[in-house]
Amino acid sequence: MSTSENISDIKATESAPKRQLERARVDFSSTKTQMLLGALIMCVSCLVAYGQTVLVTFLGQDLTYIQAIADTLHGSFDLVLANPTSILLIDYLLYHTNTLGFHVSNILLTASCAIVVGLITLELTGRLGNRNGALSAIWAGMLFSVYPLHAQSVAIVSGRIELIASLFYLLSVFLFLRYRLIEEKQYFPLSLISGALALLLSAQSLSLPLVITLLALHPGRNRYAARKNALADAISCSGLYWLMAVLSFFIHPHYLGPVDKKTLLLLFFPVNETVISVSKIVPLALVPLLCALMVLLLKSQIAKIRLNQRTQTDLIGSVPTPPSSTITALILVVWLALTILPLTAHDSHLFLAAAPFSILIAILSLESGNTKDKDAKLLTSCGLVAMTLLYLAWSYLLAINLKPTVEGSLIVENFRRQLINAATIDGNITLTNWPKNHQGVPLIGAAENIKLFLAPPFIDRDLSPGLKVMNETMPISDSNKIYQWQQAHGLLASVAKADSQPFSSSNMPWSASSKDYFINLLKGSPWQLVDSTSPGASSSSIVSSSAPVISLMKNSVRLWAGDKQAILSLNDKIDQPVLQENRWILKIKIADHSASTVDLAVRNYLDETKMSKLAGKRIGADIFFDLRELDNYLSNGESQQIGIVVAAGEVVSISGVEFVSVKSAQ
Amino acid sequence: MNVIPQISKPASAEPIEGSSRLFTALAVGVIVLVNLFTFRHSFGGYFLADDFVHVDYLYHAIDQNFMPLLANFWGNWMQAQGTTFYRPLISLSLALDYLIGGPNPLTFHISNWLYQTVASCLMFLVAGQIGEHFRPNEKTLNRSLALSAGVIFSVYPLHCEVVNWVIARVDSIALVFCLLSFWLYLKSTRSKNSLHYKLSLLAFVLGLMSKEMAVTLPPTLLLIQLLSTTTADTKSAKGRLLTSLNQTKTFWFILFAYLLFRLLVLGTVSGGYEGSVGQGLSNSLARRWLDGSLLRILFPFNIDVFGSKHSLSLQLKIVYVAMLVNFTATLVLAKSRSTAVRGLLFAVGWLVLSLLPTYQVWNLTPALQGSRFIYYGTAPIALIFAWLLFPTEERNWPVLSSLRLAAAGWFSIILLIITTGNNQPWNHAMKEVSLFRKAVTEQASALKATDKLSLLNVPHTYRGAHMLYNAATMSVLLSKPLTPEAIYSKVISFEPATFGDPDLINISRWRNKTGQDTSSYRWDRTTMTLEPIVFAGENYNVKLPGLDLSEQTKFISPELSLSAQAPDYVDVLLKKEQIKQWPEAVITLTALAPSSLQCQFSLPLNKARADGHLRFDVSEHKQWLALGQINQLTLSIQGLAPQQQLHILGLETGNLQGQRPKIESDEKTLVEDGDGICRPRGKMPSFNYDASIVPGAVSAYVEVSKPNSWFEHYSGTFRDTSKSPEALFSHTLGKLKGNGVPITFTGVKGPGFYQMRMAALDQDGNVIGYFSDPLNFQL
Repeated sequence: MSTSENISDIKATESAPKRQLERARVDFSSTKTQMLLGALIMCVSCLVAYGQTVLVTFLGQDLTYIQAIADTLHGSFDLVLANPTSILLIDYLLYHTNTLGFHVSNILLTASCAIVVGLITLELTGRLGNRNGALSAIWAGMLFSVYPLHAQSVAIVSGRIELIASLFYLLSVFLFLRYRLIEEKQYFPLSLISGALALLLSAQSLSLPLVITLLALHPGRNRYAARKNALADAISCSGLYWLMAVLSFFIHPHYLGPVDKKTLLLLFFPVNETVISVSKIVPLALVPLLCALMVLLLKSQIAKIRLNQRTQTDLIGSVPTPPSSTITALILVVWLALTILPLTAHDSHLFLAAAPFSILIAILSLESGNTKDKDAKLLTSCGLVAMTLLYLAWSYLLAINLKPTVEGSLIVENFRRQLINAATIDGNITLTNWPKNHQGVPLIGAAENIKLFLAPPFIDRDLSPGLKVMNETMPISDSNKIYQWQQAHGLLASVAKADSQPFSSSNMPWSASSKDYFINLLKGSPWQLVDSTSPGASSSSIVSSSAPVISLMKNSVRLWAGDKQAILSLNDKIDQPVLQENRWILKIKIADHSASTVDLAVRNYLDETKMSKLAGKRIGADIFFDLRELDNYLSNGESQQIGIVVAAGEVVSISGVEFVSVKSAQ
Repeated sequence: MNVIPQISKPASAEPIEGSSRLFTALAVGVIVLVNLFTFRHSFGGYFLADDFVHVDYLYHAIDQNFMPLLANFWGNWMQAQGTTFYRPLISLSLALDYLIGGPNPLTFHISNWLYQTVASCLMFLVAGQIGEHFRPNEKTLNRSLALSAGVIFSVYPLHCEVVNWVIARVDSIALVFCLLSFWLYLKSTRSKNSLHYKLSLLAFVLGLMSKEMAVTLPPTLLLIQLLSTTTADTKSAKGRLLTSLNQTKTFWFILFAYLLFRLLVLGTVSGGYEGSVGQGLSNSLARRWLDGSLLRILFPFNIDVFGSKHSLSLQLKIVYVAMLVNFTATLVLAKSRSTAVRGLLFAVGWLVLSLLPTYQVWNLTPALQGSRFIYYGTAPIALIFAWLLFPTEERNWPVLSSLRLAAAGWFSIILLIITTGNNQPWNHAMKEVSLFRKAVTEQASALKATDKLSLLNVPHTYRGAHMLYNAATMSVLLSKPLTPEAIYSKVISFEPATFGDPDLINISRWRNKTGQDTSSYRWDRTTMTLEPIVFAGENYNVKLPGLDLSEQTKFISPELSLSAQAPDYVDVLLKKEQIKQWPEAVITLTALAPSSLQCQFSLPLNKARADGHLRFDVSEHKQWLALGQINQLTLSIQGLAPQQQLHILGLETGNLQGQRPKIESDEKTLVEDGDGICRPRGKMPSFNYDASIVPGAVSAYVEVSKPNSWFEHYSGTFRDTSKSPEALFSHTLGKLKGNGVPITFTGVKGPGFYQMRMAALDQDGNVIGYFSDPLNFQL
């Protein structure tokens, strides 16, 4: 539209005598509208991000929780009060054991949390003067909705406790901020109630009173407060929260968790290490944060110049300067620190910590503080770029983190189906192993959980009495049919209890007399054999300097690794090690007074690439290797082979290798 | 708590004194925290190397009513032999720690950390003053300059030696006083406060009493006055020089008084190390300066921790380039360049001045041993970096200053990471010495009263960190006050008396000392435990037949059963024409014990004797003895072309019995102590010798070393076959055998460590066989 047309339009409206109704329109400049739209976008963002989780089955502790609820409905009420999972009761009534419903509730709860995070940001930015509409609020909510460490809290049904506790926690904070805004009394009791619920549900809410106190001390506090002294005011309005927190100690006596140094790192590199190595995502995780940091630096510098200009030109009028965002940021940093402290985060996946983190990032990079229009626009656009980058990066990382849960769910479903079949056909069965976890996601935690699969409410009949689960470190001693879960094939296979074969290495102590054994052993391997007991045969003692050497001595055998690490495979194939308890502990005898040590290599007999190393325990001259420590050895159902690892450049003298029984090793 | 009025208060044009004070307080707090974080592991440390000498000194000084400490003020430091220093304050600071916490290392480490931290804080203050000195109007820039200089200094990776090694506090104390003096001087020139000036002079005097490095302060002050803009009013160079000299005249006066005092008291102006250590230092002077050690100041990676190439070095390069680009670009764009250039010139000049006094001792090894010599120099280095980052701020471009701050932060973090790595060897070394003491104490306490413990493989260094250099330090470690019982009397040590190759051992002494009532142990570095040495096997000469070796192959001998004490050498028999063909090729001999413990020796073919025998003198090496029993030998060769083969005629072991004369103390008037040094017990200390055991001997030839010099320092072996040009005294004795020969006949006078050795001569006066193992004595 050209300028002339514009002017004529205005003239036309001015000259029109007839009064016209204002045309119905959406006022996008209104914060309320922006926020409403923002809430919708957050919901969509959550649905898109977590959509793939709706078909995830019950994992980890879910089964026990559901079982407890089912028991409750059948008249056994003793569990319900002690168990925080009774909040799943409504879901159970609605959906029974259909996981879809549980997951939809979880996603909706996450979306609500995101919206409340947005609202809190709105309240905080409102106190800083220029809040850029609901821009930072929406971005805070959006960032929260895709924070990558939410994966397990949202995708696993029992993550619900954390979701609800966080929701009440955040609501309590938001309502408190509303109450402080213009002293609207009705919000205060509401905030207290949510706070109480949050404290009741989860130990991580313990940080609530401190956060409330800090927010009460925020300089942007309302001017209608009853007490003029800031400290007295803050104490008076946060006192009740402290009281509640103290009372909550009676419900959660075990606040102190183990200190995990990795938590802080996890905050910035939120990725499941078993899926992708942290080093691979460093640029992805850091670049957006660095961008945000640059925006922040730029902002502070511009603000400084503006301040200088103003003081120099003496333009300071009577307009009170709103408090700088620094105080807000500091409060948020403290909040963040509280949520990741081991004191309160012993069982969380940083779900709550994501709230102050997202708010902090959004406020620091988007809220443009006291600067004037021209800079503000530039800064906001820079900030928006950073936020978009961060959102995309986090969405990607979230997708990575969700993958193991979804895959794990398929594994559990598959296992469950086959288990029910086996139990139906054979009646009495013994299970040697089961899918325990998949890339850091717990699948079926305790052995007792497996019995739940074979009982109502998950199936119609109760097949659980016929099931025995083998305690993996103790030998089997009954005549049930034995089943083994073979993770690589996704198969629950029945196995026959085999007679144990002799192990050739253990037949003799290693020395020159076992020359024939070594000649057989070394066929096709790079090892060179030297018989050092026969004097004068020096021509046979010239060996290649790069390949590993075995030198036979009178009472021992000396292994020389070349420039590279060398593995001496002991030629025996070990079938079904889980059923052969005399193949569980290996003893290697080292020659006297030697500090040198060796590792054990355990590899798949057919697939050389599947190899793991085991360090032994030294007792005198013997090194004991407890092969039960290796998950792959016992329970993946495939034949195994073991070997001795000699590190590059090392020389070891070994005088014997043998398997010993579990009893004698103890 | 209402912030609004505070912020809306109009800031006055002049910086508020309060805000400056607040900034200083905050910055000092930051620097203290950074230092605390960087060196947090050193508090749990122990004493190392020379520290023991000082602990012993303090222990005895306190018995003598502190008189030795006072004597330091008018004499050579610690009344020591072999060194000439004037550092009375250092012993005083150590004595203070000793009085507070006794021989507990914690007190000493806390004060070491304090000196480093105070130096860092003073670096911050001095950098601020220097900034003010050159560009009084740029407050913000000077603050950034000061803070980054302070932080860079705090985390500079060359400080590990000074902070972790108790006695290396010499450098940090000297720097504290010099920086204090410098800071007060700069303050006094600005405020014309005479009290500051007087205090500055006092601090300078204290600095001179701490370390000789302080003499660089007057030239530094002169330099800053020459370059300052206020003296620039005087046009001519001569006028400028005179004005500047006039301003610093009292400092020069003190300096000359100090030098005069030194000359009177110590008899020398320069001082330093004497004997074969000092001689070794001056012989290697050029090598030590030119082997890339200067580059190590910029890339301070301990090669044993980080390897020869580390990814952080690329990051450092990027930061350095960024600093240079920043500096040049700012210079090009700035209207006035003079202050920026002057400041940088001063910083560089200060660095050069601080390196000058170290010319004699400078030795920054790839493992960063000797980084204490650059400690003083890191102050100007930190200033140079800070100055390159913040040269001038005429153009008020916010992004640039953010970037500069970010670069300073990044740089500090890189340095911090490197420092953490460089600290690791020191922490390990302190832990190992402490464990060593504990293990030896346990073993020795378990012995019968008459039995002795002989120790091999005492830990000398760990990745550049000093540990136990000699018998003297070990004797302190194992005596009061560090060990409750006097364990040392039960220990026989084979370590060098002062300094030297830790692997060399006087095998004659070992054979004499280790008998039935002696148990031998070696210290295992990997497990950090004391392991017994089992001397199993027999005493015979091994002979192995000929073989062909190429670069791709190695020879593994049949199983042997040879006691490690028996043979003196392993000979590889070679053809003479092949020696001529590949003189540079290196043969490596590896010996293995039944436990697979091994030791290695390498020699080039051109070291072969005239008869074609390439002789490995195995028995003078502790690592060979520590094997106890040799049950396999291997040979390999490097330096041949592919496809080429060296024919070895055979391999033999043998004993030198009958090829070396014997020389011993008489054990009455001259008695050998546990550290292998003989000390007189009467007025006429005398010795016994026997050269008649060498077939064909006509006369005996005796050599005595210069004081505090050791023959093996020059030749690297006890198996010399020719006369040493470094001998103080040499004499040919007609009698082949003598008992109770007084040492005084050699004309040796004055205190010090001496070494005496003997060879048998033939008709023509040539040495037959080898020199004897030496007799060491201290007068």
